[in-house]
Amino acid sequence: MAGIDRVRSGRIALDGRVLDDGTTFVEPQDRRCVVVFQDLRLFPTMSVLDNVAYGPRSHGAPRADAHTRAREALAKVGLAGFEGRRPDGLSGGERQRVAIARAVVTNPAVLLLDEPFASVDADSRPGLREVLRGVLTGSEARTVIVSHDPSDIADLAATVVRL
Amino acid sequence: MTDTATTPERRQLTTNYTLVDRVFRGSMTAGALFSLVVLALIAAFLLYRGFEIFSDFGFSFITGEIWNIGDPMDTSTAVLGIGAMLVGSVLTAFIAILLAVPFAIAAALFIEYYAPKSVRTALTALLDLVAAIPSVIFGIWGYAVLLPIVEDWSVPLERWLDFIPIFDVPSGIFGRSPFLAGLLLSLMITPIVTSVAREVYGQAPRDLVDASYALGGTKWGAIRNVVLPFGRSGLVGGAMLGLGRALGETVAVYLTLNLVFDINFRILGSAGGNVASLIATKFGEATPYELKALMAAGLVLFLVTLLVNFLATVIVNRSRRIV
Repeated sequence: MAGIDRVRSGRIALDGRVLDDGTTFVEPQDRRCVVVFQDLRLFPTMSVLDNVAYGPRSHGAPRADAHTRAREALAKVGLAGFEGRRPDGLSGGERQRVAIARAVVTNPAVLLLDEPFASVDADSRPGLREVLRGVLTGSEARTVIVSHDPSDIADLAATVVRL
Repeated sequence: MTDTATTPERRQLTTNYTLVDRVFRGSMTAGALFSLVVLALIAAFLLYRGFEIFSDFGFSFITGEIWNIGDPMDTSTAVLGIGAMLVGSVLTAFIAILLAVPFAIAAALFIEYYAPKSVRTALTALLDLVAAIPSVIFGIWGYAVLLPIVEDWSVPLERWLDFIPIFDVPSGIFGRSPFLAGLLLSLMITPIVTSVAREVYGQAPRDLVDASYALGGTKWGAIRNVVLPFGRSGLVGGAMLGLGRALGETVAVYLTLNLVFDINFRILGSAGGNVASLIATKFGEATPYELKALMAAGLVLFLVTLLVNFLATVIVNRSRRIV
């Protein structure tokens, strides 16, 4: 869906626009589709601020504007003041919040969350779910969450597909 | 019931290699040691033959810029120093690196991330082919083809940029210049630098490249933010391997650089220096004492090249560990 891999069969369309059907392929940067991976994949060489500003910068936002939006997104997930830190200096929960901020800062049309809280301990999950619900409230993003944790589903899902 | 309190006797573990294993291990060990022994013997030979020069001239042999054998019958009249040649070697090698590295980065990124598979295979084979071209062919081509072109470029370059000392040519003589030699060397070392760059860029973490796409990043964004930072130290190692080759190159530089015993940093003028070319130029007609000086010059070049290659290996290995 995000355009990282190409479809081998079938078709992916969003709001009637074909993203990938084997012949048509919309590049990832033109899809407004963002992924939060299970292992987060924060850029280790960048600061927290640059990690979150990466999306806006990739979409052509000037540096100052991208940084302003990144600071706002970090504030929303409760990480104001963490801008200059590096990912390896953060706790698991803090890294998770950075990943969420980094995903929502570009105001995506589709947000894909792959086991979003799998890498944090059970005690931190309710708080993080709260943070995620907070940032998604008022967001236009249609969110797809893949999870093995029934609490994630119960707290966050409107429609459930069991595989 | 068995007596569990008794500690069993410790077994003696021995490995009995078969004859084939022993022969194989022996030949492999000998092969590995052989190159080290050869390296040490070369250094010892050069030191032995050149030792008299080091004791006669001391450090001034490395810093001096006069090469005058004096009276061939009286070695005390000789004044020998390779300073100009050493500076020239470093200057041409530096020009080569400066020109080769950006091209190698672009070529490596194109091959690794943009080229279709068939083009990638063809380009990789082509680069390997270029690496295999003998340096004398490069030298002849540089002399016959590149020299007139560089001469034509040098005149306007000097006219527009002569306020920068390195582009100033007071003699007004262009041609077999450090720039020409450096340009030719850059073409010769590009394959090795590209090859190392390709290897390190290919090891860039795929999950972070995907993460870049997953945030709506472009391919260039992924390269700039993930691939290039991860490949940085590996690329430095590759550049230093190229530098090692550029420092030691003889024939191509011999044909495209006018040796002048005068330390200068003017890259467009037809005057430069190169230790390897000095040895090639003087070797045939050298007196026994001058031959010793050439051996000593060879030892200096050998040590500098060895040091550069050693640093390159350390940096490349470090980058592999980081990636």
